[in-house]
Amino acid sequence: MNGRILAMDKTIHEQVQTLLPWFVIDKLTGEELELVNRHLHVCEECQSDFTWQCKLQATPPNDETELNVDSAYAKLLPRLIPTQAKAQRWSLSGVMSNFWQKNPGWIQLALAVQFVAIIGLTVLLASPTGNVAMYRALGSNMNTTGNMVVVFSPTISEQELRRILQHAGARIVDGPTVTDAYLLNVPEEKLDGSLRDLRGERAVVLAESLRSGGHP
Amino acid sequence: MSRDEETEQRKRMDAGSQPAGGVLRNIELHDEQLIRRIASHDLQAFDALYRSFFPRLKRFLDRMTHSVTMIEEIINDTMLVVWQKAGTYNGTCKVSTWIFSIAYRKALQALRDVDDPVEIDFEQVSAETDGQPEHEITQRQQQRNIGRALDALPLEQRTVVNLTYYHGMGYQEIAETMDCPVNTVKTRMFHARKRLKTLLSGLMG
Repeated sequence: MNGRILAMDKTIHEQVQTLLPWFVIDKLTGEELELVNRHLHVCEECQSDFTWQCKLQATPPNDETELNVDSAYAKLLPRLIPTQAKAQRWSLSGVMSNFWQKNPGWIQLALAVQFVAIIGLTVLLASPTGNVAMYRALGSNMNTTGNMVVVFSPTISEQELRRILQHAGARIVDGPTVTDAYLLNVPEEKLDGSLRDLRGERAVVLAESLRSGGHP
Repeated sequence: MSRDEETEQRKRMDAGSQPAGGVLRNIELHDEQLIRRIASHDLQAFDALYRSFFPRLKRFLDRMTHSVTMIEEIINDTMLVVWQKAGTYNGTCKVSTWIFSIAYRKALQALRDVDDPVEIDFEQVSAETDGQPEHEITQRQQQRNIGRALDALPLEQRTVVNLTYYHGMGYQEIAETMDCPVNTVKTRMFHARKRLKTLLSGLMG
């Protein structure tokens, strides 16, 4: 009889030993919580273990690395933008197809006529006039890949923004995103200098290179 | 709960302490709302979630790898998955468990063939504190000793200890995060405690 009770106590002791870490962090409920509470009153070994684990929990090891959330986020941002643009394109096509299905035939016909007229006018305007060199689409012959991300102060004026970009030799490739970030492009050889210039501007909140191995 | 109170609670979580149950539930509900918005590609919601999880993931990964570059890459790879797959989150586990499980998998991928348990000369650690009165062993030294002892554990045991004591996760959540049975979590914890007691004997009272 005594032997059986001792064996039962041993089993309970082992169960409590297993559950003790989650008792320390207050994650036990119901029967498990009751079991540990009851056993702790009578078991010195578990009481001592409980105290030891409380000390361990109260002494979290030091963080050994320094990381800046803004700099890390700036590196992730360009990876999000293409996904977001894709999602927006999808939703635009969805709206278009919805509109096309839900409206009566005469509206569709009117829209089609209007569309043809617009195309005709565009062709007319875009046809060569003998002075081709005068026209050049913005962005042609330009590198359109962003190599830095910049966040300006929300109070910056358009004039000031233009001045900063011209001074840094940078062009806007994309943005502003919802977080007010702009993707910029500057010639690779001027990247470090431009970054320095941008960081020196009071109206620039954040300027980070997207070049791999770039330093914040 | 006001926004200020929630921010305060999150700061405490970032520092490693666990808020009360009700507060924790509010934070979980807020995280779920953010995930729903992220599923519709709401960048503001993503920004909020990223900043909220960054310190916690950093602390978690800091114990898995001490490389700044690797930690930053793993966090960004993890959060990119969150951004792309938020629509697949089905609410069967907490948002934090879901995100930590992604981070754990990403960290394992990054650490494959790299991570070996660190061999620590604990006699040297002991020698630094031997002979000093207990009150002179500063909190900082204790934290350093515990950090070094944790680093000496095999990765799986270290992760269970880290998630339990310093991230307040129950054994079920840890099992989901590490994708293993609950009993495996308990066994890993049992062996980890045994080893930690030996490594820290005389250093923690």
